[in-house]
Amino acid sequence: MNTVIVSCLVIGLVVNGMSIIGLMRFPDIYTRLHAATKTTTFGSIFVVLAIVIKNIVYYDQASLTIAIHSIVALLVIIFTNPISAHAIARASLLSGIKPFGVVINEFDYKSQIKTADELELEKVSEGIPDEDGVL
Amino acid sequence: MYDFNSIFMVSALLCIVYVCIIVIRIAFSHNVPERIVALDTINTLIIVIMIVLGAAQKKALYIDIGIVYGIISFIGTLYIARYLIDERK
Repeated sequence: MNTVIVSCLVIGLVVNGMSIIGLMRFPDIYTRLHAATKTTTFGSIFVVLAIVIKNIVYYDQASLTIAIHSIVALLVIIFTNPISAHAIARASLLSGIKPFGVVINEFDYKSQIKTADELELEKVSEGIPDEDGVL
Repeated sequence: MYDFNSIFMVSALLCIVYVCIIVIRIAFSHNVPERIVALDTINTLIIVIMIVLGAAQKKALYIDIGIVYGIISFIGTLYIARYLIDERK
């Protein structure tokens, strides 16, 4: 059982360390979000799993409290981490930061939506007749 | 039988080293949202540090501090994101 606990702890810490490599090496905010958020959530699950197993196997007076409270803290991490990542990505996209190596921002709707006058101008310039057959 | 208190203390120290590396990342970023990403990672790692420290010293109070810190940092991150959107307009 000790092997299970220590291996869960090592998996959690190594996956948390992967987020550091991603934050250091990736070129862009969106790829860094991909690296930072998912790895920290996954690593925290394994660290808390190791602590819960340790407190169940070696039971004493304070272990039930520690197990339940660490599960509640894990729930806080699981619920808040993706929401804050989504908020950061949306804010940076709306504030005009393009993804790395991208020329056209496909999510910039305001520059792509055309008014009725602009569509009419395009029809005239391309030579497409309208409903009455008039160019 | 392993000495689990020492193992948990060592893993908390390793997470503190991670936090120090991310502080270097914050110092050498180019714009504000990249810094917010690194700050959000620091917040998650600090919750993990508080959980591991509470398990090492057998005090549930540390884990409660981690829960409250997580909720408050979540609100802070959402507010900074809202501020970035409003500043642009």
